[in-house]
Amino acid sequence: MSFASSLHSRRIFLGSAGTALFTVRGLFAEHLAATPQLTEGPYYPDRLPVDTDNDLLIVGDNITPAVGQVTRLTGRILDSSGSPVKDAVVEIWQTDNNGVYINSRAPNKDRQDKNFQGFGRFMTGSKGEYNFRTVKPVPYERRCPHIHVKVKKGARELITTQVFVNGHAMNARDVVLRELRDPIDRELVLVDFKPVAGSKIGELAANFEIVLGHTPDERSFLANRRAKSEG
Amino acid sequence: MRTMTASGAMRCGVGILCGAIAAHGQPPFRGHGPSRPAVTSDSFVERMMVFDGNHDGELTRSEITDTRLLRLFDRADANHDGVVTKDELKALYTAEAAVFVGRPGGGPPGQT
Repeated sequence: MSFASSLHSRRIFLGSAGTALFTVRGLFAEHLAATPQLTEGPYYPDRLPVDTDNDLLIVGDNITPAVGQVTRLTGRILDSSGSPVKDAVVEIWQTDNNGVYINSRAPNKDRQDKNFQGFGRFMTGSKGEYNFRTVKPVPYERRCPHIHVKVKKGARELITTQVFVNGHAMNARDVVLRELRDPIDRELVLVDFKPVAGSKIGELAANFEIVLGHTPDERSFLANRRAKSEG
Repeated sequence: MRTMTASGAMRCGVGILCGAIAAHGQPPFRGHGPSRPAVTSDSFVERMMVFDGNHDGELTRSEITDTRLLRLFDRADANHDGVVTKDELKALYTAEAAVFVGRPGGGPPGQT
């Protein structure tokens, strides 16, 4: 398979514009609530998979897709003034449909779906948009279903957070989600996983807009200042 | 056998309970997330009232320019009159804290 055609076969779907985030048209919304940070957790991949594209259902040139409910996860990275952040690297990682992470230290490896990539990356363009194809997350041990998200730009980490399935019965007792005591913060990470009209495979769509609390330069400044004060 | 006072028996019972939890085998996954400013019912109301564009002390749906928060607005609008008052916000805060945190109005002692 030529390089060009192998790229095409992995380009499963085009990026789609996110839903309008603010009712006032234009770059500068009156106010956008900042997406809360949440713990990275212990299972960020310790070794990246060979394939780190935005399609987690197909590993490399493998023809067998991962098991699970196909989900398109889309959104935008915006700064605090609502402007899109270009060249941001968005990473997601999550368990497979059996609740197994690709991290080598993760438990229950005997149940791992080897066809699930487990980790994906996407770099935003001028509109700040990102998209992934993955599976709907499932419960993992006592954690409710969730997808880990990390956004970087160059060497700087802009945000680490998690996406939750709005309405899932386990959300109310989740140790991480319960850290968010402000209903606004919970609201911003509780995402609807909606059936895609006309999908023959019961595909779901989830839209997760990420609003950075400070401009990338401000975050870098604050992080550096904190690092210096913590010695 | 030594007789035990009532408070001693209670302490013993709590100790057994704590031991049982510790021995459960699950890692104590507390999240270890980033530190956050203290959240109260008032801080939540204050954050929502940033959207009060005409400064009349109430929120209308059209004032919620961050569309991700419309779902929350609709939940807070208990009487479905298209207007959310500070009292409705406080009621939502309390009701949802009871669901997520398990204690009406907030979390462990020292945090509301």
